[in-house]
Amino acid sequence: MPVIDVASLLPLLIAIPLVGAIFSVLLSTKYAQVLIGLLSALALVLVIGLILVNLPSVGTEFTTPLRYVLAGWEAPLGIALSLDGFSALLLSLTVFLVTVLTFYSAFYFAASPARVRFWPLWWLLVAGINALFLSADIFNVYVTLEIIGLAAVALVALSGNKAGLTAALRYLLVGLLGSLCYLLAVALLYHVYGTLDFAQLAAKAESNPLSWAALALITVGLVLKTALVPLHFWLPHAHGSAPAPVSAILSALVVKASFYLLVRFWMEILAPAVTNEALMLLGILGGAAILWGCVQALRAKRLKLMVAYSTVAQIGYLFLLFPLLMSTEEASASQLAAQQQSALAAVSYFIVAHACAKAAMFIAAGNIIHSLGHDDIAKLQGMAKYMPLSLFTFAIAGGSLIGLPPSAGFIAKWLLLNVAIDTHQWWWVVIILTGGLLAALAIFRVLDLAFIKPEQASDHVAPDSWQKVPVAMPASGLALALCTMALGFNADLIIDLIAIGGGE
Amino acid sequence: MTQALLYGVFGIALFGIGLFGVLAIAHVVKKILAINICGVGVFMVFIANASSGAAPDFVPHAMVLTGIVVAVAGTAMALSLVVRINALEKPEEDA
Amino acid sequence: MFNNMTLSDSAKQEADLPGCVLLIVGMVVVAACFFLAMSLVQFQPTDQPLVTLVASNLEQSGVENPVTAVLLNFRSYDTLLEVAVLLIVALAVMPFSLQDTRLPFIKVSEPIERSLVLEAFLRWLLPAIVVTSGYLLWTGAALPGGAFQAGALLAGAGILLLLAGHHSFNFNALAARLLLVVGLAMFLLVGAGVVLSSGIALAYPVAMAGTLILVIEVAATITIAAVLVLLFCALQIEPLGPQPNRVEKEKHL
Repeated sequence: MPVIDVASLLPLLIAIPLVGAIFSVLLSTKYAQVLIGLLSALALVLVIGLILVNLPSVGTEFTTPLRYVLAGWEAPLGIALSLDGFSALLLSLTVFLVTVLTFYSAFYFAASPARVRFWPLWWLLVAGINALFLSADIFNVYVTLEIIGLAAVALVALSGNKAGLTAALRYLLVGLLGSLCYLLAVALLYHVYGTLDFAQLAAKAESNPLSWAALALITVGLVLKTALVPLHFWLPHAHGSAPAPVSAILSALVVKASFYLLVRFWMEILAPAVTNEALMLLGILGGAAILWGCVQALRAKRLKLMVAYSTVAQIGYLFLLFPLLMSTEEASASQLAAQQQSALAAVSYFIVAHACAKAAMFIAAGNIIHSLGHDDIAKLQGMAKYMPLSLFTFAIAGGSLIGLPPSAGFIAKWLLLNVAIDTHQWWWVVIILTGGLLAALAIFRVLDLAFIKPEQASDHVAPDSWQKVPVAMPASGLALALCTMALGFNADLIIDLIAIGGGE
Repeated sequence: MTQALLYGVFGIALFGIGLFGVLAIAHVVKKILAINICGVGVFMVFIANASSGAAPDFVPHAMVLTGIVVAVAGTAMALSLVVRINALEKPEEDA
Repeated sequence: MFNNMTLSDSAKQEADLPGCVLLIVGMVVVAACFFLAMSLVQFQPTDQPLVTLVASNLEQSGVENPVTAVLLNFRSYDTLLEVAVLLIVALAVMPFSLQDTRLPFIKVSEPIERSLVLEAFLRWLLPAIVVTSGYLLWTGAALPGGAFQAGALLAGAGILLLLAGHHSFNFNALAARLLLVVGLAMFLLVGAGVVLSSGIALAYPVAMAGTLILVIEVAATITIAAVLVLLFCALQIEPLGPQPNRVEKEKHL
């Protein structure tokens, strides 16, 4: 018997950032906004800590997700929040990254007038992300998707230059289109099954043309928002032109939010409508994304653009989940469930590893821009001398993205390879290894330049307009990068968490 | 074919027209308009389905109202971005 | 398709895609819509469980209008997030500057060009609009109407005031920012406050449900009106009043 009712803490995860947003609109002085930010982050950490501590552990009788019925109206009339292992992991990841990035942003926006709008929008975005991970209602998910989409666009537009605004506009149009596809699917599903609740839909769903149509619409809409090749065209510029903390959260969490929904729909809600061919198609697109993203990252001229293209590739790895869910004739139901669970664990691990590494990389890139005023890769020659911490961060995070041991990225790829071999889909092994190799080329291209000694470098040795950044800025990036290492040693934590409430 | 079903089918047709517009037209403001047409199509499917039974279903009504507000918000944001980009492009006229 | 956007009005810029691509896109869209429509036609509608559920719980919701009951009681959480969406858009379009925060919300000045007819008309119209808006808000409990309709009408009053030219709004003022967040703040306050009596967030006690919904709606009306007026101000390209025709130039994004 838990000491407190854990479920009653769930609404706080949405309320805290909303309150933070309201106060940072009202109190617009610099220190007030930073203080509100830190307090909100602290409160979120406390709440998620309490939830995790009181979460029933694996093996006990609690295999159903936590559920909180908002407004006292049970579904289908009302809306419920729910939390299982997968969403608990993503929420913890969100709170952790938001805390680090809030700390970083306090320094990043210290001298910028954009902070007045950054802080409220930041907290609204966090509220949207938390609300999405907690939601158990398909229409409510649409509203949270719009909160995330609109807040993210507003944050990208903070850069204020033409490239940033154009990227923001493209991002907005793509996001609106994706949401509308999703909304049409909601209309169809409600028409067929008469409910909007995840669990009730999952119980009622069957394989009929309208379910297929709804699943196809949801997939197109969310794949557009997740930026899977070939619908990735908007991502590099949106992520590459935003302020550094915004790029970090966009790459680390926002694209994962729509991926999380895809997993929910394909594995739970509309599972009966899923066919092996469709799973394979998503896998093939994922494989294409890995190769295409890596090649583009190799060709990128700007550091942030390179990091953004690497996100395109990493999203491809996530989609390898789907072919690994395929059922075969000889496997029994329990074998299939075990296989799906291990595939999900591998991909969740991948999400966490990538989120930490990518946030660290964008922070490092942000520091470089902050001190040099540009992020032209060709002009980074010998910069390791001036920004050792940032480039060290970049190197560690890069190691995790490549998948070098002992990083979390290595474990994630290892788990993924294991499942691929278990299911006799060896071709994914080739793609995963090729992707790692290409990523290594891209990362070492930057490191190679940066660590060249200035006397060996050609003319542009000392940057003219070099600015020192507060040590807290590279430090927060380094902390994230070190986390990817620490996670490599503590893989059980995440894999156990995923198993909670995931019982079929 | 009942009347409600007819409305539903035309809602899907509107969605398709909007979708084609978004993909095919390069002009940004027209793209925004096309997205709005898409949205109207979706709302029509909602409403048509709500009235297909014996008594009207009010939950889709409420969802459409929420959807309209969100659509207005998205449109306003897109237009404001267009205005800002436009202002950056001709600074000499922007006193 | 999204990488080549333009603001130009000239016809030849519009069709940036070659004809064959357009044809393929068109065929894919038509095929997808045909499949959607066919699956909708073939489907035989079953019962709608929510119709009876809404009807049977309407008495406990505190309002008589079922749409309002769904929006502000059964699915109030959606509406709460919807008010947050409005706040995001308001923040995104707000013309911000640090200096303006100390200036008052409403600035009164002499317009460049006065329209006496409009001014005289406004003296009659504005109070009527405000009263009508209040009526729409009140009647939303039983008949079609409610916060959004009332807010939109109120915003109309604000825009008319702007068009008359005597007043201008500074949305960086503290008062303006209060108006922008009051809807969300009140919703959260009520939603959290009812935990004390019912133990569940957003679950109003039946006896007070009508009053609490009205309180939330009043605050939401104010915020909606403020956001809409702000949107109007932010989307104005030209200052009000007649302007000489500008030469349109080609603009590419």
